[in-house]
Amino acid sequence: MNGVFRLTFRYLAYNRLKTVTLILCVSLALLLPVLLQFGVSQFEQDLLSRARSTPLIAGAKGSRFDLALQSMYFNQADRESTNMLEVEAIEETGYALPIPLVLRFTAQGAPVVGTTLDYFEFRKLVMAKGSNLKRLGDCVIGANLAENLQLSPGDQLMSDPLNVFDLSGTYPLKMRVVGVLEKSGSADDDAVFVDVHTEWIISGIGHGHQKINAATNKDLVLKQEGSTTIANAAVPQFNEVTEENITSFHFHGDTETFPVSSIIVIPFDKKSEVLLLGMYDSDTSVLQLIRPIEIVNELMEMVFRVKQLFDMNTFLVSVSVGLLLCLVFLLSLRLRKRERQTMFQLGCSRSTIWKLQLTEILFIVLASLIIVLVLTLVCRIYAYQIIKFLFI
Amino acid sequence: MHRIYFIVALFSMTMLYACQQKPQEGTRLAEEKQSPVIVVVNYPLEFIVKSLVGPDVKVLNPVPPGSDPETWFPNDEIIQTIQEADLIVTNGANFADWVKKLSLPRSKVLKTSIFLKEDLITVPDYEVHSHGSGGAHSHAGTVAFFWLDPALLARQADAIGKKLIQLLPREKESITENLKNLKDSLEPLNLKLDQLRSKYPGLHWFSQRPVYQYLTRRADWTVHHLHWKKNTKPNESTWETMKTIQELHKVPFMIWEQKPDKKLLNEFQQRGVSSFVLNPLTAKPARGDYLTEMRLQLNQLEAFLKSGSSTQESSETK
Repeated sequence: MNGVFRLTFRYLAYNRLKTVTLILCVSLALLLPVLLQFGVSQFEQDLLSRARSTPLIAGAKGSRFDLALQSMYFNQADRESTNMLEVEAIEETGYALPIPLVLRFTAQGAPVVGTTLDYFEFRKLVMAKGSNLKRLGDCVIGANLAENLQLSPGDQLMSDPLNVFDLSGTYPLKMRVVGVLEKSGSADDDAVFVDVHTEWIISGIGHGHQKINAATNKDLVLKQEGSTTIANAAVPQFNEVTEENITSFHFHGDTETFPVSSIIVIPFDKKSEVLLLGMYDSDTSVLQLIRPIEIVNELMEMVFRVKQLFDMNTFLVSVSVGLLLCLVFLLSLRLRKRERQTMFQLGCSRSTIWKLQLTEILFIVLASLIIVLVLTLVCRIYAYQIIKFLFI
Repeated sequence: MHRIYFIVALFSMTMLYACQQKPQEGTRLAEEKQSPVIVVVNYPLEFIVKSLVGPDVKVLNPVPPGSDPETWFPNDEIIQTIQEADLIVTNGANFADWVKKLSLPRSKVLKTSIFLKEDLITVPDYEVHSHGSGGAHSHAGTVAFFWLDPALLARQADAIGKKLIQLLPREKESITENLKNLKDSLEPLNLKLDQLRSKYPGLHWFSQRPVYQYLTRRADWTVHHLHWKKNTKPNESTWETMKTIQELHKVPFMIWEQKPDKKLLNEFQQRGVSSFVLNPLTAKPARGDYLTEMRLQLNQLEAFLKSGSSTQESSETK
C-alpha cells in the first residue's frame, strides 16, 4: 500500500498545475455551500442570542428594524429620538426597569453609547481592567476597541465632531477611560460606554465654563442686564471633565426633556411584559414597544428566502463542478492509457492500477476538505467581524 | 519513622486549617451582605429612612457636616460606596448636584419626587442665564424642598417605606409600624400649619431663591423669590426687583435660610421688610431632629407673626 501512496504522491507532485487546479475546483465547489450555511447559522445564532437577551425595546415610532438593530448593535440610524420623560413613565408603571440608550456620537469611529450602570449588569459585562463609570466624562471601552486603539484605564479618548465644517457645532469631549470590558463576542466589544449625562454634554445640552466676573473679565462680557452677566462667544468651554471643573458643568432645562435614542425595557415578570405591550399598542402612544426576537425572526425569514435561492444556485454549481471533475478524470484516464498498459506489462495488477487512480482522487478530495476546514475555522474565529462588515 | 508521622500530622493540620478559611470568609461576606446600605442625599431623607428601619440597616448620608448637600461632590472612594449601596434615595427636582454628575444604577435609585408629581411646584423663572448675544432667558424649575410641608414628607415616607419593604421583606411589619408612628408624629406640625393658615391668611413673603414654596402654599401664603444667589450680596437689580414686587403686593416679610448680617437686616428693616430665619433643614440640625426643629421653628414663626415686625431667628441659627 505504501507503494501506491508513494506512486500517487509522486504523480500528483509531478503534475503540479493539474493537481492544484483540481484541488481548487473541488475546494471552491465545497466552500460556497459550507460557508453560506455556516455564515447564515452564525448570523442567526448571533442575532437570536442578542435578541433573546433583550426582552423589549421602546423607541419613537418609525422603522422597527432600525429600532431593534440600533438598540442591539449601536449602528447609526437616522431615527427620531424620544426623551427621558418616557423613560420615567415606564419606570413609574412599576412593571419594568427601563435602561435608556443615547446613540448619536462616535469616538475614533466607534459608537458612543450613553446609558446607565444597569446596562452592564443587564448584559453581564465584566471589567477586564479598571473600574466602571464613576462620574461625568468617564468612559468604559469594549475589548476590541481597547486592542485596536491601544487604550487602557487612565488614557483619554476624544469624541468625534458631528460635522467638521460646522464651527458653531458641538465641541468634542475628551473622555477619561476608566475601564476596559472583557471580550463578550458582541457589539459591546466595539463600543464606548458613557453615562447618559456625558452623552448630553457631548451633544451640547450640558456644558462647563469658567465663572465670569464682569469686573475682571471685561473681554468676555457682552453686556450686563441687572444681576445677569451676558457673556460673549469667547468664553472658553471646558472640553474635558476634571476634578477641578466638574462642579462648573451644568445642564440647561429639564432633564425629562433630554433626548434618548431608545429604551431597553426589562419587565419584572411575564404579566408585566404583557401589560406593557398592551399599554403601548395604541395609535395615541408616542412610543412603540417591540419584542426584538420577533423582529429578528422576521429578518431571518427574509434571509432564509434569499438563502433558498443561494442553495439552488449552489446545487446547480455543485452538479456542474462534479460533472466537470468527472470529465477531467475520464480524460485523464484516457490520456494515461499507455501509462496503465506499461504498468500492466511490468506486472502490476489491474486492481492496483485502479487503486492508484482512486488514491489520486482521494488525495485531491482530502486536500480540498482540509482547505475548506481551515477556511471555515478562520471564518469562525472572525465570524462576528465578518457578519458585522457584511450585514450590520 | 517519627519524622514521617510528624510530616503527615503537619500536612493534615495545614489542610484542616485551609479548609476552615473559606467558610469563615463566606460567613463574613454573608454578614456584610445581611446589613444593607441605604444612601440618602439630604437630612430629611436620612430622618425618614432612620425612622423606618432598625439599627441593622446602615443609613449613609455621605455629605460631611458643614458641607452644603446641594453642591457637595464626593471623591472616588465615596462614589464607589454610593454605587455599591443597596438603595439610593434621592430627592428629585435636581436637588444635590452629585446625583446628576455620578453614574448611578437606575435599578437602585428611588426618586421620591416621582410620588409627589401632582403636588410639585414649578417656578417659571427658576433659573435665569444667557449665552452669546441672545440675551438673558429663564428656565422653569421644580422647587426641591418638599419636606418643609410635613404632608409631602409623609408621602415621601410612604414611597420610601414601600421600597424598603421590597428590599427587606422580613422587616415588613416593623417598617409599617414605624411608618405609622412617623406619620402620627407629623400631625402636630400639620396642625400648627393649619392654625397659621387660619390665623394669618394670604401673607406675602420675600425669599432669596425658590425654597419655601411648599411651606407657604400649605399656609396659603405667597412667596416672591428675588433671583438672589446663595452666599452673594444683593445688588441694585435685587433692590429694584424687590421694590417692584413690594409696590404690587405690599410684602412685609423676608424669609431667610440663614441669619443675614446686621447691615443687611437693617437695610431690609428700613425698606419696611421684617426678617425671619427658617432653616430649611437640608443638613442635620445641631440639636434635635426634623420633628423637634420644625416644631420649634413653626412656634417661632407664630411668635414672629404675632409680634408683627421684630426680627426673629430660629434657635438653630442663633
